Amino acid sequence: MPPRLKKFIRNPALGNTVPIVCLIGVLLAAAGTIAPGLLARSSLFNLLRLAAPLGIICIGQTAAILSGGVDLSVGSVAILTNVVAANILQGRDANNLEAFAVCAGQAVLIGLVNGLAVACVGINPFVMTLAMSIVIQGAALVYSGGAAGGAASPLVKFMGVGTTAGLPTAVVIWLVLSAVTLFVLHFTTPGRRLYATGANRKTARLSGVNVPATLVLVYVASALSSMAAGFVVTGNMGVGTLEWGFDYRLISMAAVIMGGTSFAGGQGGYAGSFVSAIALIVLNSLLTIVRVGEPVRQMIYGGVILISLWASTRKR
Amino acid sequence: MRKFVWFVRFALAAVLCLPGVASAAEELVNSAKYQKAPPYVVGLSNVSPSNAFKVAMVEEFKAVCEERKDLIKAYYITDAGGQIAKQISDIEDLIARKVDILLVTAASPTAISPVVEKAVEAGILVVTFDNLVETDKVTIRVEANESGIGTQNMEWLAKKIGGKGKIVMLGGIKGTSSAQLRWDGALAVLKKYPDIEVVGEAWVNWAFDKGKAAMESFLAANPVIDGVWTDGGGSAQGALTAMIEAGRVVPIVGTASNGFAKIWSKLKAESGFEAYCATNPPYCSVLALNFALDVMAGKPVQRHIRTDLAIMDNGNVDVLVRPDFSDMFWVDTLLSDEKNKELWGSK
Repeated sequence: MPPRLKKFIRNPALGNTVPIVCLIGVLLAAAGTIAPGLLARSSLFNLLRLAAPLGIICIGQTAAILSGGVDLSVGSVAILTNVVAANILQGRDANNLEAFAVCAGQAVLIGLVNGLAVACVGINPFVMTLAMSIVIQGAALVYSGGAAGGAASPLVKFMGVGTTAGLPTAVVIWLVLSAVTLFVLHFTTPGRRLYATGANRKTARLSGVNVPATLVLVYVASALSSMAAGFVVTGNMGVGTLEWGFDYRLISMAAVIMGGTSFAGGQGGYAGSFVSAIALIVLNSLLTIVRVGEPVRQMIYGGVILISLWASTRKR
Repeated sequence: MRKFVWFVRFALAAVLCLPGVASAAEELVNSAKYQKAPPYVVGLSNVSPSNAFKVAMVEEFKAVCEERKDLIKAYYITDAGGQIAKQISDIEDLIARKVDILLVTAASPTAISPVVEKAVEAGILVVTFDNLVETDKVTIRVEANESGIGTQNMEWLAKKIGGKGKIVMLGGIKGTSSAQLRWDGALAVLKKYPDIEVVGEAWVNWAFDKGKAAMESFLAANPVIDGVWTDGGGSAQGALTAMIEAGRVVPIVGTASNGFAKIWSKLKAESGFEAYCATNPPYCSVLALNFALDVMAGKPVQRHIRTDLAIMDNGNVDVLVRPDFSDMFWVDTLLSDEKNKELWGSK
């Protein structure tokens, strides 16, 4: 192997990107053997479209885990966004601005509370964001009276199921947000501060990084990315509903850790999470085809987290 | 006038074949023990209002209690938030309030049995319905025909596709008794049709997003699908949406949610699309209450009751669908139009 290629593959910011791309290849080959129709363009686009909300949520989750924490409130923020947005939109484009503003406002508020509690009060991020997710679930129930309603506007539907330049719009949104994320993480000061904070808070503080501000920013960004994912899902479903089948909290953690971002913080990056999100959705589809039930899937997602954690501990 | 309104409402419900009553066992409630002159105090211990069906179930109950002040002088509704411990203390509380009738839809079939037995020993007429409590001591057990949802849906689908072909099955939440009963009911019907092949099966939690995702995978993997069996409104709506997006719409069965009915009715008008639903109505709470009131009035009532299912098909879907209501509305209802508007209309 040429040393340059070797150096590229070993780049810590890539995490497990290269092996996971190979894994996706294997999964697709398996899928193609079992059911050739899965490799059709429309089907691959469907898979990518399904991966988009997960991938977008992983932006925030990656940042949270890089900072040495975790965000367990991602799924509930997405559900709250769906319930509130659909209710405000009522199927009309005229209400887009209000829906975006309200949902962004509540996401920023949630992120601020999470971030301040973790950074300034010193509450464990696991406990804090878990409690927050329970509060948000309750809020979504109260807001909707248990009976969510409303409908996505044409613009939001376009985000969920439309196509732009031949690609599903959801995927285009995901790609744009991913590019911004990679740029911020690797080419800007806040990005470097995030890595420094995650690697070692004490040295980060001593080198002049404003650690609390960085952490608050991470949780606000995480809530905002979950909000964006909430809009994509709302567009895909077309309605507001409390009855979501996918557990984004668990799958997003699995994707980020599988992507090679260290749970201890400061190591890894979004590229690994990006490809892991695709790998997990392809895996999910394959498991559906070969009739593996939900309980076994939960075990597989849990197993993915455990194996990735184990592998990352061994590396060190 | 009020009586007339009631009559109209029941006549409307008859469009849907108002659930009749079939007895599972011949044993009668000892009415003499409970017989009492009205008005009564009634309690409903609910497991959680976490989905549209449960919300409708509670509202149906409330509406009847409000209208029948001559029979019901006070009613209490408790919500356990899905927690067993909370439901136990809820029921303790209702016993302390000396309710005459207690309706229970349970967070656990076994764990709340002791407190339910305590209520029976306190002389309260206890009816379990919806999510049943498994204790013999309960006064009346009103059981929904869960397996019937599976069998009737599958019977219709099998006949629709001419007894042969490839189908997909999308179940509810794996591990819950209602989802399993429906699934097993469907499989029992399939034994009669050896030429029907199940090319895909998934448990999609009755949810739109999972139903749609699973159906997308199956459509991609199978060049031919002749029919889709589901046991939920959200899952049927999700699967149907996936089929429309793929341009491959085939007959589908589910339960009577407005979201499913909206798409169905539109497709029916456009292309003569056909679907079918056997549904357990959300006013099961009202049925349970009525049985209890009958006992109080000294009428003979079976101890074990199994309610019939309501049917939505191409004949009545256009009458039942409410394009102006949210997707979460259950088309089968006894509530007044104003109440439904308040609950499911645009806010």
